[in-house]
Amino acid sequence: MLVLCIPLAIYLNIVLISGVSSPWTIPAVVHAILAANYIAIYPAFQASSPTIHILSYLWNEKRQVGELELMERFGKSGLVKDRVQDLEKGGLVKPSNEGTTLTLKGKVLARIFITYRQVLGLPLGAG
Amino acid sequence: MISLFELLTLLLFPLWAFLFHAFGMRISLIRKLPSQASTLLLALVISFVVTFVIGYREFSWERVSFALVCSLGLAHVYFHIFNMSETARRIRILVGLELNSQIVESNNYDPKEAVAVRIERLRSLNQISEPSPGYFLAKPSLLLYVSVILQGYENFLFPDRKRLTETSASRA
Repeated sequence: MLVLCIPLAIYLNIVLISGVSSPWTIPAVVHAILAANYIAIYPAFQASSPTIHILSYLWNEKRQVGELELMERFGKSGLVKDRVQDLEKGGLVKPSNEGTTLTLKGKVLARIFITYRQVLGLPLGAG
Repeated sequence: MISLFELLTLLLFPLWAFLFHAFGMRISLIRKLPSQASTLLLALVISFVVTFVIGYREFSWERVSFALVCSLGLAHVYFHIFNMSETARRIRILVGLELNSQIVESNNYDPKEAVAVRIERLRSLNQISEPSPGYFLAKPSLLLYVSVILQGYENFLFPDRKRLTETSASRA
């Protein structure tokens, strides 16, 4: 987030002072969009994407790999536990007496995605 | 120089993409045509056209190139938001907690099934080959090269992380 926020804050200050027609507007927009793209792909390696791991593993092995071997290697039950820990760190869920519950921030985010899928007329994802 | 109107039209690109995507999905749900991926692609293409028709009627190479690069960047961000709603485990956990007040792993999120879903998706998208039933090989493809690069970057960012993709030869 710092990659996005610090330079963007500097750019915005300059643009607010000198107006939209400032020569700094275009670099500010390009920076914001590139940073948003980086943030969009960051979870793919931060959260250990199974798809990326499966493809890289198949590429590195250079042999036929069985489905059972892939499931054994990448289908660990800790997959969900790790993600819950990430969500706790991000303040989206919290441990409670009833197990894990959503914080207000988590509720809002969950509702945004539920509404998004409803507007698209799609069921919730199956990944 | 770019005007405020042009800038706003450009920054509204994700909104156009969302509206056309929703509209396209409604039509495809009714007519069962076209597929989800082609609907998303079509929505992004229409959004490009709308952005240019509304905001960039006065042609100049510099402004159009700028708008094109930014639109592509915003289209990529929109694609990831859709993809997140489709497959992201953290989003599934949040949605599961909101709807059922429980973490989905305990009832219907089986990690092995999630791997099976991904293998099937890669196979159906022709990203991996299946020379004999139940056995897979990597196929040269854009997704494979992107994955190898991202895997290398992940190893660079998180050197302490257990190397899941370590080969059987290097483990021996």
